Amino acid sequence: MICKNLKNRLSAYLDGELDARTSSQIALHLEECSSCKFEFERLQKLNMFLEAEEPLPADPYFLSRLRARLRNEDRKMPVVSNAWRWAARALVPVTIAVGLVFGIFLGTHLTEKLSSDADTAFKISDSYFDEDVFSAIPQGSLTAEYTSLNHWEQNLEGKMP
Amino acid sequence: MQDEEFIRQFQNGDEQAFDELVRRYQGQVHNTCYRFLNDVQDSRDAAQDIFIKVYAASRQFRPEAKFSTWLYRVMINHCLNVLRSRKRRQWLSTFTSRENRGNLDHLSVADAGGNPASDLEKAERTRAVRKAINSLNSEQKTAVILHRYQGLSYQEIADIMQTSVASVESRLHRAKLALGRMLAEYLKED
Repeated sequence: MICKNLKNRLSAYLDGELDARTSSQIALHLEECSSCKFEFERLQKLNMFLEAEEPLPADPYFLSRLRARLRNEDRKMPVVSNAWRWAARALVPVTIAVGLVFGIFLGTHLTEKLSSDADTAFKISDSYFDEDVFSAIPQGSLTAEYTSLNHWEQNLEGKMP
Repeated sequence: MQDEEFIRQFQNGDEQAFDELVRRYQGQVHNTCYRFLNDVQDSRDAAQDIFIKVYAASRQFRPEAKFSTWLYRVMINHCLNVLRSRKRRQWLSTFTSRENRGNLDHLSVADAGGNPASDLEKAERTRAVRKAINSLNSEQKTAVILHRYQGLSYQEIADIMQTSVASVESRLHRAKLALGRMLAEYLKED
């Protein structure tokens, strides 16, 4: 048996949970393999260590207190019929479905509103700004003035004898 | 008489039969809750809550099932829920003395008489074991508690946890590897 496989089963072996054939194979291997034996002894120690804690002492008033609580619960507990319980359970998917439909409606409505708002915004911007504003040399800018001056000077020079 | 006979009698209205089941299992339930919750008072309350749940849900018990398996399932679900809500509470508020009280509870149980030095050492070891078990995931923790402290077989644990025996073996193996690492310094001393 390969050590790795055996180590995985050591805990079950120690707990007496393996069949007789596997158990005897492991017992034989443990006699020969010091590494597996070390692991086995470690597990034994761990088991003893875990079991060291003592159980709680019995509570002699447990049943009488439980009976008292049951009497109280009987008085307090509202009588909820199975039909109501099922109705309450059914409400969960119904609420989720309503939420989904409402979400889809809200989403569609908002998208339409946003796209119409965007159209309006474009129209307003078109009315305020000439397309020329976004050209390379906008009209009325310093560059435009300089260029036109330049043209005028060149024209003037061309006309001069 | 078998547990299943008692629960059948209780389902037919015999309250004494329920009391008999409580007498049979109160110790196991209380101790198992204590392993999960590490607090004497919390585990006492939890044990009571579990029997109240069993009382209220007794009609759901199927006669072909094993009563102890059903009871353990109710108990584990309850304890894990208590731990989850405790975690939520801890997350929401700062640390209170509740957890510390849980650790100290055991000292009062352990130190009744005997040598104070060895009692202190025992309490220290107990604390280390509890801390190590608490750090396991809920599946490993459940398997360890049911096996080591309740003495249940792998098959019984598999039935309670609704899984296979191989899976229980693997959970216990991994749990012990983790516990061995966490308790290494104590294991060396022995």
